[in-house]
Amino acid sequence: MTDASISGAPKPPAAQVSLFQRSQQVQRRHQKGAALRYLGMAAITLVLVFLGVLLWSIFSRGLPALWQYQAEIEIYYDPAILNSDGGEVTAEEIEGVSLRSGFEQGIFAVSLERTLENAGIDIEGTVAGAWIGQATGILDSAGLENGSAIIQSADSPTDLAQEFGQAGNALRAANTALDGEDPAAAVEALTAASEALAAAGFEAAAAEVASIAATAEGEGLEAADTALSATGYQQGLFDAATALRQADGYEQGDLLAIIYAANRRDVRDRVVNNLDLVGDTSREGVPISIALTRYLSGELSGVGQAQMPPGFDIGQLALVDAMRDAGIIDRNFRWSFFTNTYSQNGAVAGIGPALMGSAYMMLVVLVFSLLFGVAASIYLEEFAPKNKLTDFIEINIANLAAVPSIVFGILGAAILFTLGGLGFGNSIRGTALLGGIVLSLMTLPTIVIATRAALKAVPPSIRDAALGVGASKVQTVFHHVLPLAAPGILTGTIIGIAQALGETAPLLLIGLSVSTGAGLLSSPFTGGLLEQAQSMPTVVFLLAQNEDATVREGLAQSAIIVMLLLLFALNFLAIMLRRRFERRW
Amino acid sequence: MTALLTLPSVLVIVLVLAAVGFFLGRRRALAASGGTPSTLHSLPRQHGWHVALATAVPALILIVFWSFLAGLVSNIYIDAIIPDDQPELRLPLEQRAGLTEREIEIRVQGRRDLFISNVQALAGAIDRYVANGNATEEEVQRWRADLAPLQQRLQRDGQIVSTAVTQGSLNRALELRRFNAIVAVTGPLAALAMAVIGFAVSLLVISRDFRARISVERWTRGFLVFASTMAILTTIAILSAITLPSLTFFREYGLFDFLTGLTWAPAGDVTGVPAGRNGEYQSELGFLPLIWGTLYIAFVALLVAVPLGLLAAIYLSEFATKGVRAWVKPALEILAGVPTIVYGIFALVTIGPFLQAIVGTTIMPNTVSVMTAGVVMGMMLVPFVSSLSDDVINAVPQAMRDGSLGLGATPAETVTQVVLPAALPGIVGAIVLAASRAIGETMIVVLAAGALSNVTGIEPNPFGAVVTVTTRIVAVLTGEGSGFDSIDVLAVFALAFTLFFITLGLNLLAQRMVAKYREQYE
Repeated sequence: MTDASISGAPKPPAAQVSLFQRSQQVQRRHQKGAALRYLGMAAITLVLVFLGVLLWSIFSRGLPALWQYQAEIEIYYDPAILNSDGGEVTAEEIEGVSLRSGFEQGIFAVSLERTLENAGIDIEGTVAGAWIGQATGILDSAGLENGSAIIQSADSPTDLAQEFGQAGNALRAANTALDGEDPAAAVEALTAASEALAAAGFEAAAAEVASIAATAEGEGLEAADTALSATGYQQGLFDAATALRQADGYEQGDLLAIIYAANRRDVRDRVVNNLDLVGDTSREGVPISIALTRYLSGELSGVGQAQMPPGFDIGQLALVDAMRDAGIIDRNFRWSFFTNTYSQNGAVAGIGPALMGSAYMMLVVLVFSLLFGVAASIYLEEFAPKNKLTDFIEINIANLAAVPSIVFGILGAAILFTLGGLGFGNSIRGTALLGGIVLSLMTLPTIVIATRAALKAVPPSIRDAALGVGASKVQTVFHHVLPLAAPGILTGTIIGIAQALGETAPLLLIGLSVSTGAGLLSSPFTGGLLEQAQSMPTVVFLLAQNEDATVREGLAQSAIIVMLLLLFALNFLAIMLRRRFERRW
Repeated sequence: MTALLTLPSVLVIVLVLAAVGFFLGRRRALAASGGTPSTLHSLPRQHGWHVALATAVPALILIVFWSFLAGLVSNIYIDAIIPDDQPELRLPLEQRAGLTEREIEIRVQGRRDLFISNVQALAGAIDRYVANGNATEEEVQRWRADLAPLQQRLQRDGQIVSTAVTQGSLNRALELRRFNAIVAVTGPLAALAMAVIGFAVSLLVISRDFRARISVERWTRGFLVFASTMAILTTIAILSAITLPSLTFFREYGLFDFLTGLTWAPAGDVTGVPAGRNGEYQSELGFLPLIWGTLYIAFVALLVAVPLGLLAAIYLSEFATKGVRAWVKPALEILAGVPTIVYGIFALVTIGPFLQAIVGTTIMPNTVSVMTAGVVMGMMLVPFVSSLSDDVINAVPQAMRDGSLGLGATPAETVTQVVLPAALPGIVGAIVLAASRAIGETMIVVLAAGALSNVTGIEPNPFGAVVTVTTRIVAVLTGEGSGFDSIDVLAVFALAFTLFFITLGLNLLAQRMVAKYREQYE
């Protein structure tokens, strides 16, 4: 262990490489290879992140939209409105009452006022309080002390507003005079403004303005101008006056705007059908105007112009707050979304007919594709001789599977136009039957491919055994092969139907989106298939095109959630079937 | 009696007859065997089926055809009985002023179509009027147009008669009704007769040696063959649906103008150019802006989908552990199973605003743009590309990998220098298929590329809105328009025509590539 041994020792052999140890070069090559691996991982991560963002974007917006703020109001069927002559109310008279002025302004607005009063809410007082509070705040922030005391001691907000306005005008006149050349006039105007402020009760502000008048005399107009502008009295007075004028300005329409009264038609029909309701009351939940949703959920604070729900003012918001505190406004699950018909208005829009329409179309697809798809696959797989025709059919199926779905829509539109020319008119436009047929033609290749795979999976020994004991070819297929292939066929069919469920473009072209007035369908056996229908994807499309951003980003996503859940349920069913019945030969 | 002779009731009668036939046939076969069923050629059940099929099938086929033909025949009839000198068709002299022969012809044809639809509407209204029990057939036959305001009477019953009833239209409507009544009865009658004949004959032929099974199996095979021709029928239907209107369009607008036009401005849109006669809006239907938008978006989509899809496929098939595969593959399948409209809305409400926030509103004035649609479509295509490439990569024989590894190549070198070159034709095929899907994709583009924008020309900015082939098809055909009545609608069929052949070409190319590739290793 001396230094000598180091210098004297022979050098170790240079390339004593173990097989288990990588040389530098090999290491470099492996490192280069790792890059490919990491790129692959990164690609998959990116795609999964995208999937996550997609689902998050749908669920975070769609789930809250399934809850709705509703006002529980006592609807009072006022005989005075239903028959303005004061006599007995008949069904004809009710039908004659205008929906807008009679039911919306009359029944709904009056009922709403009654409900609030019964809950102990002083409507006018609440509105006035909100505006007076606003005015006080403005005065305080403008440095006009003593504001709340002045407002409280005033007899009427309107008179006070006038007084404030005069003071503001005096200040404006002073400001104008300061911009001019004449110091005497400016001092005069400032003195007048100071007096006006004192008259309105703002002693401190009056003194301030008087001191500015002194400045104007001593240091010149410019300095006084700057000092006056710095106070901000003028703007504060005008704003406070504006707010005070609103305090007396409550109208029935302000209250009515809070709720959405478009189900007035339903209400009218209800009274027509049950005249006993006249003069009576019934409690019911009415949706709140959709613009208020963001305020109620706390997304908009309601302070300042930018935070105000569009179309509302602080008086109405005060009423909303009072209603919420009194328990009139509540947040409920929106069951009506699943039963209502589609509407432009997000407060009452629903997907009832769309769910039915989609179900009917899936029924058509199921019958049609099981019948024709399975029959075609059986022929091609079990019977068809290998000839030109069979090849041609195979090529056709392969190509149809890759034809863009919109081309099938074009086919549907052409069928529609042709049948229209044949005397069917417009009666077949937008029906569940036409939609189902177009979707079936589109899904047929998918189902044929799946069914053929299932038939192929049945081992030939089964066929040989059946033929061997004397079954005919048809008997072999229908009695032995088909039952064994059934789970596979069913799985393929369900997956094909799931695909058809989300298909939108072909349905748009055959008029399922213009039938926006479509109602709930009757049973498929009594002609429901031949009625104007809607479907889930087309309603999603309509909701996504709504001009109201709340609907576009909320309800459209809720409808997507419903559609995706249906899709996942179908796929889950297919997977379960496969797990349960799958046989390995 | 005539009430029974409608198609639905005949349908029920036929089905009941077939069911009865099944039991009668079985009974008769058993009787024919003389107590020993084993002496029959076919099982009694098969005899029963034979009777049922012979009863129902020809009648059902006839009913299906008749329900379509009746309308057609009635249309031909009404067109035939209206003479060219029908007074209602004459074009007033003052309207003829300054028009060419061709324009007069078009207007006269328009009046004729209108007259025909009026007559048909009137006939329908009278039908319902009678059905509601307001008049008997004899009374109707004596009707004259001036007879107590006919129109009001029909309208009071809730019938819609929009135009004034003239003596001419009333006469034609009555003629049409007589004809329709005959047609309406003949079809069901014929179907019923066929069912009864089939029923009787098939029952009569039952004997000990009758080969009912062979016969039933022939029916079955016939149905199987028919079902398998559905694919051909669908293709033929699509081809004729898009070809005939397209040819009309090319003839009227000009194929060259269509293919080389730089502006897409249909008169039906707000973007139309008032260049026609008398300041009418005239359509300018150039194909180039549309194909530009379509290919632009498809290009962006492939730029996203191909690298991501390929890398994911390579990782999954060559590097990933079983556990990773078990989780990632279903996730990719979810992505593939999401309907395209969901992607479209996602692009509209999430990706669009996000991109706009990044690049700013000067470059990207709207949230809809080529990039918005392209990126989302690319993400949609990733599972498509990756699963196709995965199949292709897995089809490369293991021996090639083993050989490469045995020679000392690292796994990554094996992938890049052996597996990928071997799989290249298949991968290119997958990319071509993805391109075909990108070109035909509709809902993402409609929602996220600016379907409602006023773009008429070629837009080079990747953050600007564009028009594409599919969005124009949706825009025109989603409205209330029905019938091949305007050049705009015809143009849409020409678009579908080009779209169909572009995608068909790409699909055939891809199939050929994949097939060749597979042959190589089998």
